[in-house]
Amino acid sequence: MASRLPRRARALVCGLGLALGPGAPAHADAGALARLSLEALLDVEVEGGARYAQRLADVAGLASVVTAEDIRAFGWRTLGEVLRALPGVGVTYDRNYTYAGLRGLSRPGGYNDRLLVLVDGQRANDNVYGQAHLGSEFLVDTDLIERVELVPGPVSVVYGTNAFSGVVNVVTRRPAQVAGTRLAASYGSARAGEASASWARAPTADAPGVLVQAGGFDTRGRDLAFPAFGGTAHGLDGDRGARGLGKVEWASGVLLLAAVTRTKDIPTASFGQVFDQPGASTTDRRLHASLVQHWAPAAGVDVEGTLVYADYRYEGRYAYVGYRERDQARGRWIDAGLKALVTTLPGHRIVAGLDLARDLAVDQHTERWPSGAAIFDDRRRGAAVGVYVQDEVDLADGWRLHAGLRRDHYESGDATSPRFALLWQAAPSTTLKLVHGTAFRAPNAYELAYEATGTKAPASLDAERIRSTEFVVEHYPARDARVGISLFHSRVRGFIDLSADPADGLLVYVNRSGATLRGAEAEWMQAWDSGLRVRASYAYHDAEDEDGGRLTSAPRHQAKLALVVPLPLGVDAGVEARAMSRRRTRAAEVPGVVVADLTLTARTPWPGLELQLAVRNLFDRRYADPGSAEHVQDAIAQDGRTVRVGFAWRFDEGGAP
Amino acid sequence: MTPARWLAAAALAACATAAMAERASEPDLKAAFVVNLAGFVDWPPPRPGEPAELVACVPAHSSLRGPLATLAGEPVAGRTLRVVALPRGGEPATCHLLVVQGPPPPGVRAPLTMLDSTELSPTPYPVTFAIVDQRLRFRVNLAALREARLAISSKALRLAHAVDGS
Repeated sequence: MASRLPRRARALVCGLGLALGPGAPAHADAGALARLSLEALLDVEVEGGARYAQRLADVAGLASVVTAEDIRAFGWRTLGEVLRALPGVGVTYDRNYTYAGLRGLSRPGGYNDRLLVLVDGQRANDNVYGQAHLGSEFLVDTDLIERVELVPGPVSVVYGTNAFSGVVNVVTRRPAQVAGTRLAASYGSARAGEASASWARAPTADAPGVLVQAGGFDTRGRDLAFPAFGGTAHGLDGDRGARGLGKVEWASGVLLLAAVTRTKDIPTASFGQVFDQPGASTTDRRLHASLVQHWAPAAGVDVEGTLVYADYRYEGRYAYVGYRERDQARGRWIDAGLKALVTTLPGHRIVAGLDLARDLAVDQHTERWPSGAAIFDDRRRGAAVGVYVQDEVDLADGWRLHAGLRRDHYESGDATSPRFALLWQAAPSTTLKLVHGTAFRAPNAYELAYEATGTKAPASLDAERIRSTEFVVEHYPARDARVGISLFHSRVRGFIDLSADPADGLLVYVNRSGATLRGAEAEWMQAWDSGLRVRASYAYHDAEDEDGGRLTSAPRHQAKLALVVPLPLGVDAGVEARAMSRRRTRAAEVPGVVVADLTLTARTPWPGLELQLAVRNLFDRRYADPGSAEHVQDAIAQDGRTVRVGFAWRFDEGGAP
Repeated sequence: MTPARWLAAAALAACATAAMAERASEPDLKAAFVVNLAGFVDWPPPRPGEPAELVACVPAHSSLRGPLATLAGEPVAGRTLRVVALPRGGEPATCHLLVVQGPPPPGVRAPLTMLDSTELSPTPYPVTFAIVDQRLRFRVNLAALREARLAISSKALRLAHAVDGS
């Protein structure tokens, strides 16, 4: 029987599957199964408990996964909200952009470019700043996310640059999973409104599956008091934008189109702006089109070809005394990839691939207004190529070896990224792993080029590199339970950071000497027949900068608890608590804090209609995230209690299911 | 969502190849079985003007609906599989094949009704299947098949756990 699904399914999910190791063992979907003979079907074992976990257990590292069901139960509306529920991920917000720090690598003047974000396995970081967008400016509405997979640790062996502290793969929902029409809207504190509509049709005999969605959001924001300025920023916390997504799925491929525009007002007077002056904002616009096609040229050989076209536009409007500044960036690029999974050799699963990236535009421009005087203008084009090969070898007695190597050539240099992992299934429910890997981050166009008042472009700048060794234990104590523990040690070399040149006093990006990161992360997930689910984690991170300089604002201790409690009358309660110890700031520190969120989701007697009440920061705790170099504030206050009510109504599911 | 499904979804989907299909979720496996077994049935040829389709009907709330939907378009016994969720808003559905987990919805009839059961005891339906010891097993009721004017290949009968009504 010809396969309709499996190749496409692999196209969608193999992004991270490959990152994790090509040979994550077989979990066959209906499409793959439909190709089997009846005899073979009757021999297929139904998964129960630990076997599911097996697949996580075969990842070279300690992976965490969040499902659409979690996103619904906890009412998460941004990728940042999803990630901050995961072990050791510290998410901060400077009321302009959202940043994620993994493994103690929090934002040292960076642009979220040490975390690689993939959408359906395709790179989503931009080509100007290398930035991963995690807030309301992210490409995909969380309602359309089927799964978020996080692998912390260096994974350049498959993905090349940016896969420095971890990789996040956002898997979007498939038309068959959201067939029908859906309307959703919410309204809440700070006059936050949001609405979206989607329509999807499952694939049929003669027509591909189709999904389209459009939505908009507008948060007016509150007036925010900033003691550092001795005043209040009035009406400067607005956040508004729109998103659209289209997806077409056919037997052997998928086309995804996603676009977002988001404008965020800046209340913090960052970059030396005038405080409480209207008109300061950033707008990020993004278009992402990806085409994935699969072939099976021979038995045991599966080839995936990908083509991505992306367009990123940024415009910052900054308000100074007597003038304004307009800061613009435009990135356009094409990524093309070819990878093959070969399983013809017994005991080996080999993945080999080629990635090509070509910039069509990397333009940066800053000008004063109203004078129109340009103070910075840089236009460059680049290209990058990466080749990689990985083999997963079955050794004797439950031992397996993953060995991989990737070679990258990019505009300003080269990098070689090996990774080795030894996995031992010590008992049916216990796997031990030893992983040694490296990663790099090539300097981004901003770091290479930016020159304006008080700053200059570097004469040369190398990639920063990380080398990491990790020991992982994964254990499945019960049918629906998983416990994972990871101990890691990483060395960073050539950290890219801003530094004042002693010769002229100008700020310039340089490679600093390095840092040592050590830590432990543990996660427990369990589900019970009653519907109760729990995810609990603890992380200890210790980061030391060799220069004695400030490396990180990450907390030393993080503990997280997320529960879904089924209540009577079809109500699910999602309870989240996140605790972190004190964090260093530039001048001092911010104290530790525990923040709790509560989300109630209720089915109603009307078919397809669901209501949700989401309370963030339930106990109205006052806390702040460390500020960055561009802020006068040493710490930036976060929201107190906010409340949001919303509904989602799915109807018209008939016809093709 | 049952705990097992939740954890299944939470586990990373793998770069599976066909040769590696040793384990599967229960709905996926059952959906594949339904379609596979339909290929062993001698279906009467389509009437002139009738599309060469095999219409599989499944209640909208069934756990098999999603996996079956992903198989829509597959060729089965020389026809193309179409999957229809029931009920269809009052519109009558013509089903060749109906998969139920209990009594069929009122007014819906299909020549080949398959019961997705929790045990393998005899039933009045042509085909009954269940998971036994983590494997899918099925039994065939030949009398019910005859009544539906259908025949099933002897190969499928050999693989059946039990055959009734012969």
